[in-house]
Amino acid sequence: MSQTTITNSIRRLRFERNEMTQQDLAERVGVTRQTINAIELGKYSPSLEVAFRIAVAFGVRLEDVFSYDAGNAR
Amino acid sequence: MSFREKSAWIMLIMIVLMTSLWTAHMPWRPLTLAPDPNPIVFHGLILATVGFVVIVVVAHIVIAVLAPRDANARADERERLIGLKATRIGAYVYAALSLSSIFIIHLGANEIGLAYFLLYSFAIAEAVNYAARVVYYRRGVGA
Repeated sequence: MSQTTITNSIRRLRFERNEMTQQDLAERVGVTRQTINAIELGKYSPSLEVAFRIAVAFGVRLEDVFSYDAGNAR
Repeated sequence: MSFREKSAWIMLIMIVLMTSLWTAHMPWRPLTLAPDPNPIVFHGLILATVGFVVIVVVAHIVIAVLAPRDANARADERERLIGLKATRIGAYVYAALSLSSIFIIHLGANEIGLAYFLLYSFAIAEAVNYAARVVYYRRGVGA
């Protein structure tokens, strides 16, 4: 699996927002539900623009959603 | 599973299936380098092509009816990336196979053998293209 060194808190943020569904988040961000799922599972690293749109959808800063593990970077 | 992933599965299965069926029903061994012209083979190719198009269109209509919102959604950046990467892999395969056709000429292939070699090259390249899409959808895709 092509896991990335970027981790995210999307699952927790969705839970904290009254169990926002992946579909709801996908519609707010403008991507498919499957892409939100892939991002959440670490199977896909989104573009900077989509990352910002996810942060805006949650009303938090980018670094509250995504973090970069430099220790695992090649 | 997204509409485009289902579509990739349909295309992969149908390319493999129809190519295999056409090959299996040829009256002579398909990979003969210098086959004689045979109308039965040509008619089979037309039938396989028409059958392929009809089944693929019907299958896409069915999956679109089952999930219309998915079907109408524009491809997002991940789906576009998967399409680009898979198409690139398929293009490499097609380039390698079609360029290697020069070797089968030196091995004694006639123009019909060469035509079928190029046809199989295209089918294999497209199968690889859609197989790559399925793998990227299942396992994830990096930049």
